[in-house]
Amino acid sequence: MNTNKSDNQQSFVTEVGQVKEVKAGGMTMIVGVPERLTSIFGEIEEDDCDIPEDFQPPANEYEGWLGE
Amino acid sequence: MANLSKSIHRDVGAGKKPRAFSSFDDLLNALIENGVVASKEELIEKQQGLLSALLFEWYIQGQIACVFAQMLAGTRKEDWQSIVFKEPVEAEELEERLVQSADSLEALQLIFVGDGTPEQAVELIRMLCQHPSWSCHEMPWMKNEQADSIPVGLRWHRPDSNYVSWVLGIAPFEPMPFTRRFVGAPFIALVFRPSPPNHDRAPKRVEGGLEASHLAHMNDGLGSDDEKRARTKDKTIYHKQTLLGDELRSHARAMVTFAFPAHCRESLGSILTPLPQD
Repeated sequence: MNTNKSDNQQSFVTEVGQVKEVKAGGMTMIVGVPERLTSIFGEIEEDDCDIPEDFQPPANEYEGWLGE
Repeated sequence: MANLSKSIHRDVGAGKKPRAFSSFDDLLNALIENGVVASKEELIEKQQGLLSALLFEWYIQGQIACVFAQMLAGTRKEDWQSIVFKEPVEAEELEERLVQSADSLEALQLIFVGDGTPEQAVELIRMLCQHPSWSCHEMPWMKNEQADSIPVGLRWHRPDSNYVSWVLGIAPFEPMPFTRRFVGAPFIALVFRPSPPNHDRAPKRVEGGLEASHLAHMNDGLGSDDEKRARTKDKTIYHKQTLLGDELRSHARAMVTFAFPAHCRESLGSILTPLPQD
C-alpha cells in the first residue's frame, strides 16, 4: 500500500484506495480508505444464514450496531 | 490466495456448527505469507495504513454481528473514512479536522496503535476528554443485568449542533463483548458517525437534550430495497443473539463504547461524568 507523504490538507476525506500521511500540529496520521485486498482475503460471501423458525428475538433488547 | 486461518471459534447453539473468525494474528499472517509485510513490527511501524484494511476485513468476517457493517465494509466508500494515529492524539488538532470533515462522512474510524489494554483505552479517553467536545459517562445497566465491570459511553458533541455522536469501541481486551473484541489487535478503534442523525434510518433517541447520532444512521446502500433491509436487520439480530451467547447485553449496546474491568474504576476516576438527563 502506497502512502503519500506529508499532505496537510485540512479534510480527512479521501477517495477509496488513497491513503495519505497527514500532519496536524505535532501529530501524524495515516488517513484514507484502503482498497480491499481481495487477492489475499478472497471474495466476499454474502451472509446466507437461515434464521431458525423458532428463533425468538429478545424483546426490547436489541441495541447493537443498529443502535435501537 | 493464502489459506486464511480462523482461530477464533464460537459456539452458536446446540446442534449448530461453531462459527469461526480470524484473530488479528491470523490476518497478519496472511499478509506475511503473501509478502505484503515481513513482520508485525513492519506493519505497525511502516505500514500503518494496513491496520485499517485489517479492521475492515474483521468486520467483513462477521464477528461484529451487524450484517449492515459487513456489507458496508465490503463495498467501502469514501464516506467511511479511517485514520491511524502514529503518535499521541492532540485533541485540539483532531477537533478542527473532525468539524471540517463531519458533513462528508457517514462514519469515521479512529485507530490508535498500542497494546490494546484497558489502560490504553483509559488514557485515550483521558486525552480526548481534554477537549470540551468529548465526554465520557458510566452507562446504566439493562434491566436484570448487573456486574462489577464498567460500561462506559464516549460521546463527541459537534460544537453548536443539536446532536451528540455515540462512539463504538473495538478492542481486544475483556470484558468487551465478543462482537467488539478483535482478539490480538495492537490497537483500539473508535467508530462513530460525526454527521447529524438521519431519523429515516433509525428511530430518534435523545440524550441530555441532544439527538443521538450513531452508526444505524449510516446510509446502508440498499436504496428502496426494503425487503433486503428487513432481512438484513433480522439476520443482524439473530447473529448478535447467537454470538453473544451468555455475555452481558449491557456491554454490547450502541450507547456503550467500552466495557472496562472493575480495576479500571480508580483510573477512570474523574473522567467519568454523570450521564446528562433529558
